[in-house]
Amino acid sequence: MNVYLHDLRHVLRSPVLIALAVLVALSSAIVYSTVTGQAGTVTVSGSGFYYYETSAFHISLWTYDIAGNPVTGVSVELNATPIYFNVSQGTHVPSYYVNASGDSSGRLQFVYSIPDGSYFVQSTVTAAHLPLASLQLGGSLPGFTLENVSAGAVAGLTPLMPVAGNYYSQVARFLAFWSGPSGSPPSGAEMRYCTSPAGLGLLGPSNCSGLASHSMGALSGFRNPYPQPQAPPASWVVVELVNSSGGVVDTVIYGGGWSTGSAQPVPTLTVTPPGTTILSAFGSLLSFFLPLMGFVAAYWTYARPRLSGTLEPVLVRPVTRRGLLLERYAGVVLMLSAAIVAEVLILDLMVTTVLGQPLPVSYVAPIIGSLLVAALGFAGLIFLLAHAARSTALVVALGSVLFIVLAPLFWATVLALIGFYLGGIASTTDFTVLVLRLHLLSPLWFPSLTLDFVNGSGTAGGPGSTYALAGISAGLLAALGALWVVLPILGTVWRAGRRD
Amino acid sequence: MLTLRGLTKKFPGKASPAIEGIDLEIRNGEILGLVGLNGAGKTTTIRVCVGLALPTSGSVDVDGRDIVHDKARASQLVGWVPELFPYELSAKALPLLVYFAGFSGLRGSAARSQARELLARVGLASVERDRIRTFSQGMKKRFGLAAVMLSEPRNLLLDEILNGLDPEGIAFVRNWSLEQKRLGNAVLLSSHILAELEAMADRVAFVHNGHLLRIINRAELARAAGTLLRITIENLDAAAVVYLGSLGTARVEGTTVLLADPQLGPSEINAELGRRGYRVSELRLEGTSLEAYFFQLLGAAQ
Repeated sequence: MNVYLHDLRHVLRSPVLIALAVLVALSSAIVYSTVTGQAGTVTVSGSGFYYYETSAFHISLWTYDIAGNPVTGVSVELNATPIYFNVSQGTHVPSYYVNASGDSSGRLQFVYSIPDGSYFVQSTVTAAHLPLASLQLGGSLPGFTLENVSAGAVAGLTPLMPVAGNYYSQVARFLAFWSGPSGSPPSGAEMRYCTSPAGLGLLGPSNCSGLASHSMGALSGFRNPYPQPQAPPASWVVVELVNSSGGVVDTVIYGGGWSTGSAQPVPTLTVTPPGTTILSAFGSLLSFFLPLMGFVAAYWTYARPRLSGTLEPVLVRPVTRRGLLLERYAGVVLMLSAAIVAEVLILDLMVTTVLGQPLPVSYVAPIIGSLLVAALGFAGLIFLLAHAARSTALVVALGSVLFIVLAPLFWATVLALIGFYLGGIASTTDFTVLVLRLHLLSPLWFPSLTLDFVNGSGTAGGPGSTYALAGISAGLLAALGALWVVLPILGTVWRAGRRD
Repeated sequence: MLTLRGLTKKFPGKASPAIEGIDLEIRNGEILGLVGLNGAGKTTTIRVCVGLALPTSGSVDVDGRDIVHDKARASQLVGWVPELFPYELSAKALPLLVYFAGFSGLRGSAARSQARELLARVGLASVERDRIRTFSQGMKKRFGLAAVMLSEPRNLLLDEILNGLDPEGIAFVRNWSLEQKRLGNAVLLSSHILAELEAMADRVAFVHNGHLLRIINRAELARAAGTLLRITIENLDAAAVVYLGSLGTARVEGTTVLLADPQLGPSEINAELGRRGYRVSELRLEGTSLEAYFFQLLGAAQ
């Protein structure tokens, strides 16, 4: 048997690599709960208000998708637990339950007959067509708090909500949910906004005090859509929901210069193309996970033995250093390929269980390819580091720094900071395009980009999408993926042959 | 046979090369001793010879195969026992040796039986299932020897193999090296234990500051050998060293001065040191001619 095949067999039998492969293969099980197959099921958000009267909380919640469109056919069960201060250990804390079903506007009305007081409320969503949906108040909160209110007075549940876009456009707007006393129409309440002078940096205003306010119009009903106010770059926009007595109920603050981009019609419901499966967590989760696995595999297979000296007894055998390097990289490729194929097959099995049909090959192949690019791209960088650094500790340190620098949030944050301090970024679309192009430079983002592209979801689909504006095409992704797999290891081969 | 021609190795960031222009032959059926101070370039020479470091210039031929351009074939013909133990400490002795046997074309039961036989030969049969991290310094050296013996190479490079060995271990290496010589293999043995080298080596190459100073054979060594006086002075100071340096090549080790080829006899030196107020606690004439010769060479080089 060839000496390289002999060493490859030895590498693939490493308990660490086998454990890694099993971990990768089973990792897709984590995203089981995000497997959905219906239109408009990504996130069911909720906002509204409540008041206390006739020994009951009267709660109104509106469900909506990310574009603000009502989601109908939803039933919600609320579970309230009293919030006690000074609760002694062992005290029985009662729980209260109430149910409501939504109407055609997505409104759910609860009459919650519990004593006046403070409660933490958790929600459970059930819907025949949204078997795995979850309610997120304000788009992010898993639950909410009910507080003591005077009779008839109204309190908000994230009543002012920006809905920044949908799957096909960057149209941004506001939704305001409010009522008058005891659930009467919100007469006298209005929306207004103000803008700050430019150049305040990150220390923007916290309210409209001392700034000129502009009315956005009175509230005409319980659920009110408004367009997003604009302001010059480097300034701040404060949007306020004001009740009939002039009190500010809720505030949203954002940076100026973030235009809505090219105006496009908002679909009646945020739907994904028919037959498309949503795996909302898969791409983002594995964008982190698989490069880490590539990191560990490359470190264990090559960087650590090389820098700790345990590769030397192998290098003095009838092998060449470049041959051994490529053979060990091949070991990482084989291990990760097998693990990722197994991982996607498990994913496919889960999808088949939920939807009754497997994922199409045209969908599975790019997923496998992009996951491999993420893992091998980062593994290749660790191989390269093994020849640039002088100790294993340095490889771990530099690898970790690389991981942070290439991570999705890093450059978006850096760009946002630069944008604020250098006078703002021209528009939301420009910003997104810039971030997208930066993400192309990172293997960590590759799965998410590809998954969105294949899905036609996020901002990837439709005419005039940011993917199209950023020049991202299937060909570009394929070429970039190939470069990520090949370039770092070619650099390592070149470095390994230098006479130093 | 190993042939080194104009071998030079310069590491990046270093002002001077680690070794420069080394021409050397290690012939079949001979043991060549490699002697030099720490940092003289012995280990670098050996690492280039086994292909672990690429030469900046010059070449190494192993039985006619260039270690850079024909690495795989050349490596089949050369074996290396390193100064520092480079094996995976978490590995167990037998499986690790079986893995290395695979590079010599041995597989399965043949590899296992060969590995077991070699472990028994180096006295490690009882610990074949133990992790290497539990091994003593001497056991690690023995494991290194077993790993080299797997491929039965005709050229052996032993880097400070005698360091850390007990007398039994030293005797084992001595006998093994002499057996390799009898088998017609070429052996390069670098060591600081000059008495052992003197007993084993057919020729000795002296390196200093990366340069090859001289190569001598046994007959030349016998002719050139001088005397070495070991003088321990309780109140040794710089003036005493200057005085002793005027009598021969002096080298200081703590409160001991090693004096090679002194112009005066031991009793005269002792008397003069007493006159100068020095308390001599030991004065011994040593018969290590190689050590004496080495110091002579160093003195001349400096």
